[in-house]
Amino acid sequence: MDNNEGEEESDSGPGPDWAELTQECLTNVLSRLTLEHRWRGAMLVCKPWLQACMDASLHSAFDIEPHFGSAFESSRWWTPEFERKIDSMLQSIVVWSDGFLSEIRTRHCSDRSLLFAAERCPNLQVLSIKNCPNVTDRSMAKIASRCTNLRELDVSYCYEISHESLVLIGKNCPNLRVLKRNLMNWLDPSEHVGVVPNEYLNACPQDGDSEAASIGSSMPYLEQLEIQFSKLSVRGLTLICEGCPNLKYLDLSGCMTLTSRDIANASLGLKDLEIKKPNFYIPSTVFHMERYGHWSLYDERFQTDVFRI
Amino acid sequence: MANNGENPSPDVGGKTVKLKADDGEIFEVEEAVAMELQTVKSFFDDDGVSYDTVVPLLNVSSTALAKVIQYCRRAVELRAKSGDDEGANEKAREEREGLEAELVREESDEGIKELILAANYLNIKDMLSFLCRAVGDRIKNKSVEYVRRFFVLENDFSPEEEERTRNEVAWAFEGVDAD
Repeated sequence: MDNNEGEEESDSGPGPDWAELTQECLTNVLSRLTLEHRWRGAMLVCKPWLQACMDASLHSAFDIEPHFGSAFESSRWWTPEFERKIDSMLQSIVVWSDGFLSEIRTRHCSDRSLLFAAERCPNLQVLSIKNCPNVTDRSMAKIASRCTNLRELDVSYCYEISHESLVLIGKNCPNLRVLKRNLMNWLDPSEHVGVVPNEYLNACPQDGDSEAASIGSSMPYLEQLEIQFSKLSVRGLTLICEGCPNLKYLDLSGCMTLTSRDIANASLGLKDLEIKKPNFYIPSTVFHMERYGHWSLYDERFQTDVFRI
Repeated sequence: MANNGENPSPDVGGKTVKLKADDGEIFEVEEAVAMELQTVKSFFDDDGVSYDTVVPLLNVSSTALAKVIQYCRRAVELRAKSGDDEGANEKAREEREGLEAELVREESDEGIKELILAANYLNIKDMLSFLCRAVGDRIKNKSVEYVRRFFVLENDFSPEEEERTRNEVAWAFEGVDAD
């Protein structure tokens, strides 16, 4: 009964023939690895493994958000080369997923890969594409028309997407429940300077009310909304509150053009609504656990009407 | 009741089934346990096959078969314990997870591989699932070479092909992680 004779190559030894390992078995093992482990390791093992790593069952989600971390941004990510890498990765995953891709969470992709994804991912439910300076209304329109099962959309810091895309998405995607459309901290952009190109920082959408109106008019089933640092006025906020009766969570951090009274009045009709208020002093630390903002800037603001309670 | 992998005494009072490993060793197993092995179940589902027939399992070593039987025996016991009661279900589930962890922990890489192939051949879904998870854990942060050795796989890429694949694929994650 002694099996441990170190025979690895003979048929009767303890090293059974792995070539017999069924595809299903191999896929099972591969499914325990992260995307990165597969791309950097498993796919290079041998040809059958390369093939196995392209199995559609492994690609129901493309999530590389964890690689980007929460606070720190690298200037390297804002280069065209990096964007090409991300586009290339996303395109590969779309092909391999064979129509089953239901979640995309990435940053720095462009219209190029998103148009491709829209064409081939009718089952997309979650699309999170923050920090994509080259995603425009063009690909968002395609997404709206082809990915009608969309449930969650995050287009924060994507300044080439206008409110028109929001209307299209709202009208074509009746399952939409979560929308995140946060803008960068324009009150204290110091944390972004040197990482995010200045032209982009300055391209921040100014008309918060158009976006608010778009949301209010086309997303009646919305439950969660984040619009940090939007410049919307009480008029826009009212349109949102009236147009989204099921709203449960609303993040208005950094929306300095709203007063407490504005918020209270506009949200009167909504029960169970949890609101994250535009805290009037928002040091960078609160947001991103990094350096402090400049006190003097806020001292001045404390004197203005904006902070009337 | 739980003999460790050895042939149970036949006074179990229910039907038993005989399974023969690749080296000829015969294991007599309670019917309920034997039916956990889908391959065995299919064997008897065929018309006209009597339960006295010895099931030849040519691709399974006696070591592996012994462990498989031991696991399935415990699994059947635990399943019998759970029922409508939430608490009992929870406890049974925890015990089963403990059983799986113990089995995996004690095994060498060779042992795990042998068990996977056995579980695959015998078609035991649950066992296969946790074994694959264990293997995934063992190879996840290892080099390509290590994985090849672990699975005894030949690198069948030509140098050009390997270079090309590496270029297309492996660079993808470079530079994604924050500094």
